[in-house]
Amino acid sequence: MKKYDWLIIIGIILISGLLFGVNQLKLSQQKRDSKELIAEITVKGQLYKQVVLTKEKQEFTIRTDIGKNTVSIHDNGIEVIESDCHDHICEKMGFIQKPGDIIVCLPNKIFIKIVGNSEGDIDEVSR
Amino acid sequence: MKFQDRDKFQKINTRKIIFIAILVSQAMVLSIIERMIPVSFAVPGAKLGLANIITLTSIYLFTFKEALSIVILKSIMTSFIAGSLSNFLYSFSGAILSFFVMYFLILLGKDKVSTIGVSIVGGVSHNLGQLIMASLIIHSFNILGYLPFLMIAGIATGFIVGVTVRFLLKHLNKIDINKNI
Repeated sequence: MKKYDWLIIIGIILISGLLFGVNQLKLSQQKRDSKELIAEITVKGQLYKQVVLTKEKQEFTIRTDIGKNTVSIHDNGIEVIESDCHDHICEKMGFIQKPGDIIVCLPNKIFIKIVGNSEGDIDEVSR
Repeated sequence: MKFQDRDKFQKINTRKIIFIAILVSQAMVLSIIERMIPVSFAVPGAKLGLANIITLTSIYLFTFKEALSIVILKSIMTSFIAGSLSNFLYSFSGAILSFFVMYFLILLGKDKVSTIGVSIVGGVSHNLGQLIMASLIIHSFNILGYLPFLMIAGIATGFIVGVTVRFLLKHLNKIDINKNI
């Protein structure tokens, strides 16, 4: 064993450690990116529907005996785009995409809240 | 005079051809034996790389062309006997990359790096070549994340191979392969 042999061994161990670290970092990043959020839509205090906030655009209408609200899901977020209530506050609340964010439509008694997926998030706890 | 020269040349050549053939067959036997030794319990996919003994020995003993021909013959023949086409692609890319890396390492620092260092670098580059080939085939570079584990395994197996080559060379150097009979 010569001096350079040791250098080679140490070098390879360092490189593999570095690659391992980079890889772990990338994996955790991917995990965070792929974490899909869920929005809970509550009507009159009862759970109406749970929807996954997808990147793809999807629209549906919540029809109740009080009125109807059209909801649009896109870019991992959700917003109310049309409402037949009189104050349209739910429309003005805009687009939400963070866990814990809410949209309410008081006249129609609709409550939309974004919840994280099964893994608890520190933001969710502190809110 | 001319005839004698050719005669001499041919004799040396025959001697060398036989030696190369012996080395190639030894490499084939070693890679078949290697399949019987399970070392992949710690790192799946890791191998002892016993055939690397022959590659490294031939780099020390022969010229570039001869050693390269041994490496190419070795991987083709081994795949013919035990292996499939994809198997051949993996082992061939790994063998060629590790051959070039080891050759230039020896060329640059023959008296600075011992056989152990060279064989460790060769083993790691063999893994690298295989993984690059595999990622090209399946169009995904995610398996390169597996490289660190293979690299650590490559240090251990490369060390074993390097020690073996050192002992082997000590004895083989007693034979003058270029000697005329």
